[in-house]
Amino acid sequence: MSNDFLEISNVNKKSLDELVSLVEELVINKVRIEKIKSEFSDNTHIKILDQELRIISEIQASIKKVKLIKIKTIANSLTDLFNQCCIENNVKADFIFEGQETEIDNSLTIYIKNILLYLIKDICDNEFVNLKNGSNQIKVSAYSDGRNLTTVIQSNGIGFNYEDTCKKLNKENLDLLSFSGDEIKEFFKIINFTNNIEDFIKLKLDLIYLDGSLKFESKANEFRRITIVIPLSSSIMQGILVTIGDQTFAIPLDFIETIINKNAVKIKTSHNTEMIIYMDHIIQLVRVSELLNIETVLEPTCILIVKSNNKRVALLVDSLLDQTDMVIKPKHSIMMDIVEIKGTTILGDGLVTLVLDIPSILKEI
Amino acid sequence: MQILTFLLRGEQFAIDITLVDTIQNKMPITPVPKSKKYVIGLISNRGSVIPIINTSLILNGKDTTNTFEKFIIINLGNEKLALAVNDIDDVLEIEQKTIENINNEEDFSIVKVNSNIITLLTYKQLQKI
Amino acid sequence: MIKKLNNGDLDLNVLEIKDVIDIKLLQTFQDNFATGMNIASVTVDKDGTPVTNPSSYTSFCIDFTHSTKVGDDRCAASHKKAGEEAARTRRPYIFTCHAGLIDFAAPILVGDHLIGTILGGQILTSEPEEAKYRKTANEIGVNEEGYVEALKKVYMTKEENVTAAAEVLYIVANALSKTGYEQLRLRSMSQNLSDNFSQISATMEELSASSINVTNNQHNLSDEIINVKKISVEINTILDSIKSIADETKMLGLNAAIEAARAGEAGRGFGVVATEIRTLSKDSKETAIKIAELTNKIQQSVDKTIETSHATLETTEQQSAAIEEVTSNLMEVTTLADELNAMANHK
Repeated sequence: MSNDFLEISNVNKKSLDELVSLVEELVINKVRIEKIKSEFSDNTHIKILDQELRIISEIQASIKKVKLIKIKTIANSLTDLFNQCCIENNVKADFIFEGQETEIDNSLTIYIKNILLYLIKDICDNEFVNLKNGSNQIKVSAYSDGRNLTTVIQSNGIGFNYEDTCKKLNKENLDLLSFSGDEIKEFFKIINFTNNIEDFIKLKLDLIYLDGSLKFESKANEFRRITIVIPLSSSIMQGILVTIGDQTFAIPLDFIETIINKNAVKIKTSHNTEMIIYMDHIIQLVRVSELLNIETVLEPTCILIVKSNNKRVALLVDSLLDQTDMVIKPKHSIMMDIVEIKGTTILGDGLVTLVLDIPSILKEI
Repeated sequence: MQILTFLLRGEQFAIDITLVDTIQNKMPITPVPKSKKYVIGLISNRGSVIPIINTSLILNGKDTTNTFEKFIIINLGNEKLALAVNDIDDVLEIEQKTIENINNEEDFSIVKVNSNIITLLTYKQLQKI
Repeated sequence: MIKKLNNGDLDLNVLEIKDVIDIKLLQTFQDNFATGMNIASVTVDKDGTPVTNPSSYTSFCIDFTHSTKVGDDRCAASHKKAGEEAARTRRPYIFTCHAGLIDFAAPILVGDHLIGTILGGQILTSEPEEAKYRKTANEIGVNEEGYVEALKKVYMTKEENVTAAAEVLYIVANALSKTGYEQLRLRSMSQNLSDNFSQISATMEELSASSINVTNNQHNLSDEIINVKKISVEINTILDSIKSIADETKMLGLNAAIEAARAGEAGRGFGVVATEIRTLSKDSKETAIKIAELTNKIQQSVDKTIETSHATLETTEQQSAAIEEVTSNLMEVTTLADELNAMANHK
């Protein structure tokens, strides 16, 4: 109910963050508790542990809700800034904010706010001209698919020539997070971006830290669109643990269609590509050990059929271990260029386990 | 200022203690496929996942991966790194003026303490990682 | 009397005829010889005491000459003198006895020692003068007529027969004594041997017993040493614990110093504490290292001792084995000596 949200109490943010971290650790312990359960034959013990597990799941769900905040809360300050900018630049424009009901993680709001403020300012400063027909407009749409928060800022203004700009920069797209500092400087020069570049670089680092993306699109004299995607952090999601070589990896369950034994299908090769036939589909087979340059000794036995963006691939791994709840931490900056890794998680045994980035892997193949 | 001295490849190095988060004994490392050569792997420390750096390779030396015993966890910006070293000596107090720069780069400085020459790692050097 | 001298030989001074000659055998031979040759004989020891019964004594001697004290004493004196002469020459001595009969004395010798004499004869080699004998009869106090009658019964033969008879008796008696003496010597030697072996056996057994003792002590010692070694290994394990605790403490101290540095001014006091902790860990580590060196030395010395004791053990075990071999060999030899002794003693 929308009214529930307006009852705001003062909560010490730090304590809240600590609470959330502790809940995350609880999740990891769920795996341990499951293990301990299997060691008891006595029903009373199992019942108690089951109760605990149930309570933990409920706490998880509740905390998720606690940490969520509607984007609405930043809309106001954005609108204020926008109006101020317009006055300063002496333009008239409309500010539309779609998707204000979208709930996002509390910790993300500050990032979103910073980015939006930054970009909106530039639009106000440079994009708008005194249009006689039609009105200047900035539309911010925010929506979440449970995994990512996508924010699109679209403005109709001067814009720039997308293809030319790309050519000049020798890039295929304007995915700014992959640009180097100098490239960004050049880009900003080309499109007459006047905001402080150092500030942008800070924002860029933040986005990279969040494992997000920022894309520019534009059509000259028509519109400029900036798409910002931020993964909703601290997602507790389910994953499948597999072994490749002597290492363990986690694959988010959301991408897995089915898991089959390698011996159940025939592998055919054509043009140096291996493929399998499964349920009347021909699916490309990828040996993950080769993908990751890991030495294996034993014959791989397990195939996971994964799907992302309508593309399907069969991943061949050494063996299937377990299903687990995991908290994916974004990967360290030092691993930025390893696209196959989405992030890291810490399993019940305390060891760091790498989480595979299925969409990236599928794009690569 | 205070520095933390440690041993690597038989030589003495040091690092500004303000860069140091904590030190600990070596623990099992998860290797990262396709990672940079000097990244030995990842560890988990106090809830964070921290990459372990082969400090010897960074300092343009021979690889001594199998002889390091301790990690120095340092703060770089808002991220942490762990330097793998052979052993950790002590915390020393030194005068700013005893630090000399060699070839005027900010890559590394030399500090002379009790007639020992210790190579002091600089922030800039570490940032390169 | 059979008496052994210090050098193991028999003391010939106290050796008697009955020690070397079987008197029964001698008696038998003496009797048969006397009967066969019609020559009387008797054997006396070195003091003149008869050791055999007289064989074929004439009535003349038994019934008459020896019957009175005077006559008997005269016979003894005569025999003694003859014996002495025979002993001196070491050859049979033929003489005329006080009563006028022909007698002989054959010495029985062992080496140079006289152990006895065979006396014999009581024959005539020529017709006797009656008057002489009647005179003798009166002197010794016997019946004249009877004496002469007995005289007529005395066997007469040629002198060479007497010589030959004396010679035979001499040869036989001395052969018997020599054999007897050799046998005695053999017996004595074999007894010696037997005694010696017994002694050696006894000694070997003692040696064996004592070497077993030594071996047992060796084993005990070895066990003790291994115990010491175990203890020193335990000490080392504890030291390793101490060293690792010292390392942990040092890390703790350093981490504390880092936190103190970060706390700036507020952390100064804490920094001092951290330094103290590091010093403490260094001290305990150094102490642990010193103790480790000490136990190392102990272990080294224990190892050396073990080596030595093992070597000793080997030696004593070898000794024991050798002793056992010798003992078993000895037992064989002793058995042989016993058999030899038995044979030597068998008559």
